[in-house]
Amino acid sequence: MTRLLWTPALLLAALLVLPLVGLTAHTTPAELLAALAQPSTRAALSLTAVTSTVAVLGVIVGGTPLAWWLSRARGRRAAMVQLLVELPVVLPPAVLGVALLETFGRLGLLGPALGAVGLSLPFTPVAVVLAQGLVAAPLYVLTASAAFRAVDDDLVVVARTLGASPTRAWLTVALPTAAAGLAAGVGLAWARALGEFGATLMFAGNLPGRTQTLTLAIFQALEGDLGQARAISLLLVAVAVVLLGVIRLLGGGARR
Amino acid sequence: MVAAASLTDALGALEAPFEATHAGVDLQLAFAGSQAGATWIRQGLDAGAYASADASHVDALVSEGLLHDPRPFASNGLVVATPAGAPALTSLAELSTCDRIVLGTPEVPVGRYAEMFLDAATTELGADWRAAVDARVVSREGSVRLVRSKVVLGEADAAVVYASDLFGHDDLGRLAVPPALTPEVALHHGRIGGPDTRAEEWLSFVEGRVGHEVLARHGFGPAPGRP
Repeated sequence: MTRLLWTPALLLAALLVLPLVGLTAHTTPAELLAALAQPSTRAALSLTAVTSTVAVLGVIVGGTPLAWWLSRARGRRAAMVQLLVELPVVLPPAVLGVALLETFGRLGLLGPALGAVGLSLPFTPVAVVLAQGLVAAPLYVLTASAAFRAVDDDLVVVARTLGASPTRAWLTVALPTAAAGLAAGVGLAWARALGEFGATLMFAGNLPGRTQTLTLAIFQALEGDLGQARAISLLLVAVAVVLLGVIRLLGGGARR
Repeated sequence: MVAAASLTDALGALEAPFEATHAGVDLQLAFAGSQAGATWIRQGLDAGAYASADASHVDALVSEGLLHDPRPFASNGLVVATPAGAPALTSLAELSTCDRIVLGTPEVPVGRYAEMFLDAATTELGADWRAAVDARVVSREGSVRLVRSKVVLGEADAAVVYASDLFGHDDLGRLAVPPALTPEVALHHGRIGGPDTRAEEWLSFVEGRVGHEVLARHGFGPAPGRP
C-alpha cells in the first residue's frame, strides 16, 4: 500500500485503539478493586448477570427454531421475517426504548391488558430483560440461521431414512453440526445484552439494585464518582475481550 | 450556554428576544441535569455561561476555577406531580400509598431537594411513612425533565419536580410541598470566561426586566432576598 492509503488506515486504527488506552491510563489496580467492591457496583453486577442470562436463555429458546426456519424457508414471507429480525440491529436503542414504552407501558398498546391481569412491566427487572432480549435476539438469530444454512440437508435425510423422527434427526444431526455457530451467536447476543443502555434507561428506569445495570451505573457514576465509571467500564472491556476470544475460537474451529 | 433542564422552556423563550436586541449573536442553549452540565464543562465544553438548579454545582465549578461571578437569579418550589386523570393527592401522607414514585438521582439537584423535603416531612409523618415512600421509589432519573416525563407517560403515580416544570402541563395533578418542608431552591448562574464577554450580557439579560418577566411567567420566583 502507498503512504496515501496507509495514513487514513493508521488514523482509523488509532481511533479504535486510543480510547481503550485512555480508559486504562487513569486507573490503578487498587482503585479498580476498590470501585468494584462498592455495594452499588456489586448490585449492578449481579443484576446485569441475572438479567442478561435470562434474556439470552429466552433468545436461545425462541431464536433457535426461528433461525432453523429462516435457514430453510424461501420466498417473500421468509425475506420479510428476515428483514424484521434484522431491523432492531440497525434501529437506535432510544427508538427501541420508546417503542417498548408505547407497547408495554401503562398507556401503551398492551398496557391496559397487562394491567387487567395485574402486570406492570416498566421499572421492573422484567423490563430490563425485555430490553436486553430485544437487542440481543437479532444477533443470535442471524448468526444461528447462517450456521444452520451450512448444515447439509442430505445428512438430515440420511438420519430420517435410518428411522429417526424429524425431531430426533434435527436434535442429533442438525443441532450438533451447527453447534459452533450457535455458540458464537450466543456470545454475540450476550455481549449485546450486557451492553444494552438506551432502551433499558427509558423502559426500565434507573433504580440501584432493581433495574440499574452496569451500563446505567456507569452513566450515573460519570456525574459523581468518575473512578467508579472507569472501573465498571474496564470490567465490561474485559468481559467483551473474553467473549470475543471465545467467538473467535469457535469461528476458527468451524472453518477448519 | 449550558443550563439546568428545569430552565428548558423559560430560557428557550428568552433566546429570541435576546438575539433581537443583541445584533450578530447566535445564542446556543444546551440543557441537561445540572450535574451533567457541570461534567461537560469540566471535560472542556466550550460554553460561555452555566446555570444550575442549585448552588452546589456552581460552587464546585467556582472552586475549580472554571466559573466566575456566580450569583442566584431565580427561585423555585417543589411539587408532587401526579398523572392526568389519576385522583389528585390531597395530603403528603397519601404519598406513601402511591404504587410507583419517581425521583431524581442523588447527583441531580431535584433529587437532592426531594431527599431534603422527604427528610423534613419524616419528622412530621414518621419513619414508617418514610420507609413506605422509599419502598415505592421505582426509578431515579438524571434530570427533572426525565422525572416529569414518567408522570406525563403515566408510568409514575407520583414524582417530585419543581413547580415551574408543571408550566404548560395543566392536566397533571399537583400537590405543592408546604413552605415549611421545602428546601430553599435557588437557581445560580455564572460566567465561564471574562467579564467583557457576550456571556455576561446574557446573564444580565436573564436578570433584567424581560428575563424576570419570562421566568415569572414560567413559574419561577425571584432570586432569594429579592422582591
